[in-house]
Amino acid sequence: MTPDGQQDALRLRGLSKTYGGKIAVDKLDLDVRAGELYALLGPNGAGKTTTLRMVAGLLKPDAGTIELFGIDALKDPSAAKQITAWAPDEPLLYDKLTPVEYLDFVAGLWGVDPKVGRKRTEDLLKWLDLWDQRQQRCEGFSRGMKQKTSLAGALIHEPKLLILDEPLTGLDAAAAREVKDLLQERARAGATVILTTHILEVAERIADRIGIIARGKLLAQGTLEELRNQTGADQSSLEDVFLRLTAEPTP
Amino acid sequence: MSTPSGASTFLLLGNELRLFWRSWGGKQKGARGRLIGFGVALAVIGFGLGWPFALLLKLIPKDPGPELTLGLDGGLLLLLTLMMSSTVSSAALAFYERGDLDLLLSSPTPPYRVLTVRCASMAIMSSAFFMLLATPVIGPAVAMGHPKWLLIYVVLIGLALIATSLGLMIATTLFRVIGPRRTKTLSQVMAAVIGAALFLTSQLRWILPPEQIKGLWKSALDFSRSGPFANTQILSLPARAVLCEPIPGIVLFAFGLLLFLLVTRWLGARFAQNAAAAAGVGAGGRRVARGGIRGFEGGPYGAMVRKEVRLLLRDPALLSQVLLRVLYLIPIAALVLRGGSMRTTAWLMGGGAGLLFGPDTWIARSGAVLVFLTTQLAGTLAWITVSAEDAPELLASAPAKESILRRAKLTAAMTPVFIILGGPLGGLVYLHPWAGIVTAIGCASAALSACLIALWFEKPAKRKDLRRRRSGSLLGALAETFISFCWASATWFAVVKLWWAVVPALLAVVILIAIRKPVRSFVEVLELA
Repeated sequence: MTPDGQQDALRLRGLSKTYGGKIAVDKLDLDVRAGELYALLGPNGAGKTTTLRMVAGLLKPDAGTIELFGIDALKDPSAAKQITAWAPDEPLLYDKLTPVEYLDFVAGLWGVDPKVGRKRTEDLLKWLDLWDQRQQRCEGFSRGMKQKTSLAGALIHEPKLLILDEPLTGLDAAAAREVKDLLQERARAGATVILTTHILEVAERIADRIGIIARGKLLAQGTLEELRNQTGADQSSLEDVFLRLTAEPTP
Repeated sequence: MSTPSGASTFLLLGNELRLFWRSWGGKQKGARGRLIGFGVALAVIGFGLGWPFALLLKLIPKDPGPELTLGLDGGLLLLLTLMMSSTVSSAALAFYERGDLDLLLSSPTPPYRVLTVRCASMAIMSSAFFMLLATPVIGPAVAMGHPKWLLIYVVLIGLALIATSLGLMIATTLFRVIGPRRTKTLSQVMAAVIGAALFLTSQLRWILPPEQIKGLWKSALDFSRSGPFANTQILSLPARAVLCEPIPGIVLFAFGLLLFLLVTRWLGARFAQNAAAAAGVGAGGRRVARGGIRGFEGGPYGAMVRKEVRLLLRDPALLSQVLLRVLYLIPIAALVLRGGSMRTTAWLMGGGAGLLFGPDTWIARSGAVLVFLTTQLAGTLAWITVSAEDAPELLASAPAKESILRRAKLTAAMTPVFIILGGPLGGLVYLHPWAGIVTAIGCASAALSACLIALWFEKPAKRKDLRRRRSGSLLGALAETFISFCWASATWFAVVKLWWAVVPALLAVVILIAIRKPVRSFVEVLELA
């Protein structure tokens, strides 16, 4: 629970993961509030993707707890997955399926009622400008169209928590804009969105709060203003704050 | 100023072979040791088996008569066709497999050189299998003081170069006539049809009436004796090359090399254009459905079955494999319809034990053959649906029960099996209810075994990677073959109501118990992928 009595969308405590002796995530504590758009930033190899993959149930942590809207994701993964959607940088697609067939499959995986599934499919494809391509196989789609189809799949079961790893990778300006608008719109509609990105301007513009992670540990989190205060860098851009926080200590 | 000529042929070929080696796990820890151990075991077994055959080589006359020349020429033609069944589709795939193609074609390396290297590695791979197969016989022959038999390797390489050149010419012609999209599909279907044609030719004896076979054989002998296969004629050259006469052997190799160099040089420029055209295949989309939004019924199970069936139906390479298996049924159908003897066919297809120990009735043999084919089909389809998954993270992040999703995958894999074998099984039940029911049980056991092996020996990969690697578990493949033999034999005995049926059935169960492994969760599979 947050201090104002609201339930956290995500609550990580002491989360750890090691790969062959190398620590990827190191006793990480993190809270994301319900309904916010949270950007998790960090340099390459900081542990962002590993953290999110553990939250999405794709990786087993070595230690720690994961709670999604009060559900213990390690004890009841099925219930946690029911309210979550995972969208990595590489779209989760089948080239030989059409967008409608893909959404039929994803809706089935989440047990969406058939009538509701059909209605949402039509709405999502129209909203994402994919309606005219609904009968074409995804193999001929551009990167942006594939990313949008994958996002439609992530939204078909109306998840309470949407987790995206580098959702803007490889998108042109127009497609990136559409995806950013979509994420803000989902957050406005009450969903919680957690994303990682290397494009700091994106985090600066659309995120309600930002977490900065390095070497598997959370260095700081808060709004941009709060981060500036924490680093004593008034009027600085997020890039300056980020670089100050993640700079390797000189020996 | 000199013009940069790009990477040398040897550098490119070295890179190609290194990638091939690594795709077979050659860089993995302990791979070298395993390979040496496997090679030594194979050499010991192979040489042991090959020694008697090597002794037989001594009996071949120095001057082959027209009949032997005809036979050897025919054998060489069959081998060439067999090699072509793989080079036609590999040559077409050379245009599509992107891999490092874009990098190579964007470099100053001339396209003909890229093509030459791709095709050279194709020729090496298609000849390597036959060279390996020949070694257990050639090795002892050389050890017995007949080094001339080493020339057979040169002949095989020459033949592979011819097969690759012809495959490339066919693929390029198809590309020109029917376009990139259809070429990809048709070349894979052609490869299967060539393989099936070979099989059917070898089974002509069982398909055609005996009088017709006798007539054909007599005409062939008369033709061979009329002169064209005499020692001085050009048609005797391939046969003499097979018999390792130095000049014919070198002429055949030189012909293959010359044809290869001419074809790759001639088609080099077109290769770059074709590769560019192939890169656009799929762009612009391909319409597959009409009307509004349908489906969405049946929950996770229904969704998974629909998805897998769609993917199976849209996989031309897989369909051609299934088609191949269906074509294998033709000789059996011919025999069943004629009610005649099918000793050899049954032996080849798994009724071996039954043939040795059981009564020789056509109905029992048909049952055994159907059970063997069930394992073949079920094994291929279950392996593809279980191991090939393009979005494993989607499955791992979904709340659906894993057991339901796997069951759905196997249901989708088994649907074509039951469609294809349902007819013959139905016919058997109608003709002979006891045999039909027993065969149905045998087929179900064989299909279940194939499904279990596919689950236990899952090798997660993207669909197109799985097709390219074609590598499964050796233990799994061996177990599947042996178990299919067991179920086929058990069916044979059971059809003729012999209690011996219990023995191979129990053996199949024991093998399954011995090789069983826990099925990996989707999260564990993700870590392996």
